[in-house]
Amino acid sequence: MRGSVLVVGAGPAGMRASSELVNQGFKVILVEEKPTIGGKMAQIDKMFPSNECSTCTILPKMLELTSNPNVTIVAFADVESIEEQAGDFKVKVTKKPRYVDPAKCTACTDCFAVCPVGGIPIDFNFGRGTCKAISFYSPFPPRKALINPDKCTYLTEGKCGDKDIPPCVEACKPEAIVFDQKPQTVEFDVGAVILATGIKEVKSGLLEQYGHSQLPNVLTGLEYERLLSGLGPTSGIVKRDDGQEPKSVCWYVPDNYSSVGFMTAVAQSLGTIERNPDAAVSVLHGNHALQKESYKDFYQKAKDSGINFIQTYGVISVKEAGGNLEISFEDETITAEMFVLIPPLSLTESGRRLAEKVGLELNESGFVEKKSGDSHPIRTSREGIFICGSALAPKGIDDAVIQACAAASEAASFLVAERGREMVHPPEKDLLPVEPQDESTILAVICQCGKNIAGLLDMDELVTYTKSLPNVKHVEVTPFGCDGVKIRELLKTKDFNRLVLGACSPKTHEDLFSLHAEMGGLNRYLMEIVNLRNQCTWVHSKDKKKATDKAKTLMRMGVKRVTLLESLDDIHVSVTPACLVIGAEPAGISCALKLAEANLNVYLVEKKDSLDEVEKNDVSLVKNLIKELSRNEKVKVYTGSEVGRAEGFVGNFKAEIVTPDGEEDINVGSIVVATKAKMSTDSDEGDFEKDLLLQRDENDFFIGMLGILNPLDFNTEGVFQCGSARDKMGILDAIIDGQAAASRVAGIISKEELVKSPAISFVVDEYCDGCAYCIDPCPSNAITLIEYMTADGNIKKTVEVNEAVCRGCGVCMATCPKKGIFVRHFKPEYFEEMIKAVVEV
Amino acid sequence: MWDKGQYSTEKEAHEKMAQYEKDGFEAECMKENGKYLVYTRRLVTEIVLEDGGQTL
Repeated sequence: MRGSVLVVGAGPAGMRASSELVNQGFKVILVEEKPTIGGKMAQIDKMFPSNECSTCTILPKMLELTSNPNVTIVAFADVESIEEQAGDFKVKVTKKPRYVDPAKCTACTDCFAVCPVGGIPIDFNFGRGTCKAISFYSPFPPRKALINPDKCTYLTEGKCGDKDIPPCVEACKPEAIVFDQKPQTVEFDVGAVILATGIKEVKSGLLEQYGHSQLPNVLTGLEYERLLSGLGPTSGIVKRDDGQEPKSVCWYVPDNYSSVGFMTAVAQSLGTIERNPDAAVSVLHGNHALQKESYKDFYQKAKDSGINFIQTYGVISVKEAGGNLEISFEDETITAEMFVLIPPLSLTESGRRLAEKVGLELNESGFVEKKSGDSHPIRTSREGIFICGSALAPKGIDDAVIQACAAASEAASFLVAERGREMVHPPEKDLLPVEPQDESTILAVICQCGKNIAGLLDMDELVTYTKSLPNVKHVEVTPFGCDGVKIRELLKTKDFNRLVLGACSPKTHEDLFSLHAEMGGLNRYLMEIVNLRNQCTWVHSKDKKKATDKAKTLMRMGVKRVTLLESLDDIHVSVTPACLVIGAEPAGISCALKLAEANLNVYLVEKKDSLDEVEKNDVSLVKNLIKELSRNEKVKVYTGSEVGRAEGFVGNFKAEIVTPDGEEDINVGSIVVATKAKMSTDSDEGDFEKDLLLQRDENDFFIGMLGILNPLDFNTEGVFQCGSARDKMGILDAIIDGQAAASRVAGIISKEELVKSPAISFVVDEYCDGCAYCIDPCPSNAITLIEYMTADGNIKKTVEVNEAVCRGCGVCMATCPKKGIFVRHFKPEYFEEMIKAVVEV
Repeated sequence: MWDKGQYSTEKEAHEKMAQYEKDGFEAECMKENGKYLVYTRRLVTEIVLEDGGQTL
């Protein structure tokens, strides 16, 4: 039995399954057929129904995986075979030749500039925009160049212009170009497999019928997404083929598609109106029943924005007329400058091939067929191989994420005996001791970010200026700071006790840069990131002088702040290895069972006197789960019971169960709410919903954390929701939901301890007079008013911060009139000095 | 919180702790640089306002 899992497909489902597995102690081999990860999520602009930016959401997750030593990403590769049996699969993966050694490529892009073969349509943009014969596949990781073998003349004709040595080889300082690279087969031994191969648009006769590839300005949904994307060929400004911005756009979503197609059109039309409120935007659509409340709300928002939704039996024809398009349906005709067709979706080619190799059947729609009579929604007919995401059927990213968590939960419980066995543990941190009184010796690293930063800023001027700032001992310019090479190399000299990075957004890159800083021996809290890319070159892209001046100001502020920063140590919190599941509906039962199968203790509380009495538990699928549950000693079931008060924090909650025989206190590391029904006691003695800061919406569903990638999380860390607690859903979906919640829980309680950021509130007792102004505004209930006695017999009031609960939001710091409480790493004086730096000349 | 005192012997510190505990405080003793330090705390459950009202 192996403790590692093969995940095939690095879209949102595959990435999430990988992340969940690593969090639960399993090593992951993540294979992606494309040269970069992210799948379709990397190609779209915004996600429905939250309208969040897809790139901003997925990029941190990508970097989290690429920097994790327990995830091996094999990009631009196909799985050739999966042999032997569950627990000990032998997997063969063939890496496609990219003619560039990824281990040597520094992504400097010097080769792009000298390559004489240009004008090649960009695959990632579906043929829009052009690139050289050597280029990046997409802006996403792994950021390594590759050569197009059909376009590179050295590969097709054996020569590049009139030169014997191709200019890319001469330009490549790390000697990464390998023209004789061949496909390479590598083998992995894994215990389980998760297929998350994703979907593609079916570009069949339907598209041709409506003029796709024949008429100008007729696009598919995904092609339109690239125009909406800020990283697309038109930098997020929708443009027609003639370069003009359209004044009218029409979508068509044929009948009987999944709600995904319709919601895609809703999101894209909304994105168009957001860019140009005067645009005439229409969506022609068939019959689409939206089940989810969140989808209905999003659709309503689009309607309220002035988008014209027209239900039709079907579009008859699309014709070009005077540079525009005439779209005829039933008795009407709409004229639009662009026409976007949402085509059917099917399993990707590589997904289909792999399914056949593995022995899985496909259904009529081209998706993987479920094993007949199988009680589990994401098991395949082959033991140890699980499936999730759109490989089963088209679905929104929120649903794909839930399935991915459930698939991870399945794989984890299957391999439970091997948990942690193959994990690589990071070496002990060997950090330079830095005391507040030590003189600051600052290393400034300025990232070129390819041409993102260096392409606009006057780098020489910025470097000279940064060198002149107080305490800056060295300034280094690097092509990509995120590779960490220069950061680690220079910090390891121990010549520097502070680091200022002129780079990109901390939102996406802080964890990665922190990792590099610590690998170089510097405490991560002695680093300051200055966002030159987003805040200078992107927003002032047409004004080099202003962008450079602003960069100098931001660097000055960064140097000021880093000089004041102090070393901080992570906080370690022990974990109680048990979970309370509230509600024994199908979701709660499947959650409890999956946790128990993962060898974790569960308390399952149900108000009804018997699990059989619970609604929907009478179907055979759920009855079987209840039978399995009754045989598992890890689950303690309380029927006829309610939950009273609850207190604590992630890893260590205490809850009161009110049973017919009396009250019982339990200690758990995590809590799952798996029912919409009120399960707390009506007495004044306690209400876990209030205690845990859980809120319900107008439909009485619980309100979870914001963000499409967190559908099961509450804002209260360590507490999760699933099943009817969060939305209406059928039994199968509820079972998946419960298993997904089990994965979230196992990521906490399968660990002995949790590591928490020390950037939380700290009380200065000398200044705190116990006025208690900070207590009520604290959104985490982390502050308590206490008093203590001094040796001379006086009693002094002060406040106490629960370090495990505090999130460092700073509300207390803003409330305190006496400077009696501050957030470590964000002291008011840091900001004062930064503001002074802005006005300095 | 630290009671701001430094006690030379463990016995002395424990005597002080007993005194605090008698007044309803939790008390803890720690040794630091050869001295014994005593920490105390108790939750505030009632605040008497200047006008005589009560809160919490």
